[in-house]
Amino acid sequence: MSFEINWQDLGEDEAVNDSIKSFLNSHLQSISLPSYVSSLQVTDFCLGGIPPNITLREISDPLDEFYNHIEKEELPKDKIPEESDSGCQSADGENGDLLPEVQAESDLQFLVEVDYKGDMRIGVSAELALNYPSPSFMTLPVKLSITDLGIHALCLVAYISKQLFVSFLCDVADPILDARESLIDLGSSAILGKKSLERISLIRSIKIDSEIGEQNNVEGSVLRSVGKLEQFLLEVFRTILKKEAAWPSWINLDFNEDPSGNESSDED
Amino acid sequence: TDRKFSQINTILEKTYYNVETHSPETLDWFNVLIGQTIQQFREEALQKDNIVHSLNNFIARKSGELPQYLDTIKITELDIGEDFPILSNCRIQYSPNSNKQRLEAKIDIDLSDRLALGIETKLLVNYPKPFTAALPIQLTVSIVRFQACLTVSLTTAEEFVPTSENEASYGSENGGYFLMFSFSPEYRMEFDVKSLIGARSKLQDIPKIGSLIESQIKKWFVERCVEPRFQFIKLPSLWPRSKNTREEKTENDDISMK
Repeated sequence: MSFEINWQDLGEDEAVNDSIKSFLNSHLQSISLPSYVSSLQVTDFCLGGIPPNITLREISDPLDEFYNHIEKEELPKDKIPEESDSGCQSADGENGDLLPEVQAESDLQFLVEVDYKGDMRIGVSAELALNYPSPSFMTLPVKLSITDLGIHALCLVAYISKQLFVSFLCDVADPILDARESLIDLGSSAILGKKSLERISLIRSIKIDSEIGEQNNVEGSVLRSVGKLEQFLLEVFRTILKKEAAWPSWINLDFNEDPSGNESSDED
Repeated sequence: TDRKFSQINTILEKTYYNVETHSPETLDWFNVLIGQTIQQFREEALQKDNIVHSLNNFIARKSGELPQYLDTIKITELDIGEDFPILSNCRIQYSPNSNKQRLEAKIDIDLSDRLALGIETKLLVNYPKPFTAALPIQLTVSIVRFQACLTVSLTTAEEFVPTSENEASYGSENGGYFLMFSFSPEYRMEFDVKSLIGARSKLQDIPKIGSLIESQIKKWFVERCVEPRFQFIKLPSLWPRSKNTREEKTENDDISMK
């Protein structure tokens, strides 16, 4: 462990837990549900009392991809005053020349090893649709609880002109690591991005328990669907992590405009 | 302006200095005096622990201005060196771009020493809450070599402007002479940066940290005393005054004091 983490305040903080809850919910909204689930919502989230173990592995210059992202973001901002001035002034070439040099000596990138085996809890409520004997024969409220999340992965944290980029690279046991001395050498990022399917899952362990009304517990068909729901949910969380926070995607926190930290994700 | 040109020529003539043909001088005598001054400064600093105190006071005063991502800074090491700068190859020339209206001295300067500052602090992660995480940092930054060409001249204030607005008042009191000095951009400043980062598992001497510190120090230096910027220091009056008069202690004085 390289970082001293003050987890006591964080794990029980309502504002922090709520913001993670709404982040997860906003992503659940965009997921197409299978026929046997009619609604899915995170009802409670708690980071728990056990912090991740974070070890610093390398410090270097940030990857080019982060700079490319910032340049793309800044282009529209530069165009706004020009359009309001007059319509006849327009030259993309000029705009390109005016772009500030985003790369600064003070930019930093950390490669860290995140080892998490904490007591984070996610509570999910769902409506289970029983399609037997006829479609949508019955809906049942189901409560699911997700615990025992285990992650042991390498993660990039880049700090560039008040913007923070966080991206999970791969599991520490990924064979992709065997071949190279340093992960952040040129080209490695591209390799990581292309072979994402062959990589070991970032989530090492996860446990999902479901709770439904007791009178239905004996019914085999109901239990089978719940098992399917658990599987589905598992995939949902793997996908959220992979799509939103794993290379070549990242979580981008911009401290320039919003002092509280504006959470937005990016996919290239 | 023609008057100034002829004034300068008169000075050169009457001091028997031809800027074209005069050979460079050593400044050995000056090195000795500078060495004495530095030695005294070091002794005072060591005896009274002056520098560490004033640095720590400075840091304490400025702690409110420290960036939010830094914890308080503690000084762990201070090495004020044991060698002296060697000045040499001194020659007088017309200042470039001055249209032969200003003279300056060019002096080579070379310092091989170890001037080191060691600090201890923590990098703070203030997201999502203040003090969420901290990364301990131990740094020792030393300058081990400095080589440059120094330009020195005496001038009045009227031709120059301060680089920052709040110094404007200083420039307006333009009576008297100023010593201006500057280093040529082709200076050489070598650093030795040692870093230890992390709580229990530590990373040692990361090149990126070294280059980060180096560039910050060089930026500070370039913005203050590398051409076209220069330091501009008002000289005190050298007119003999009774309040500045001293004489050597005699044995009689010592006895009478007892």
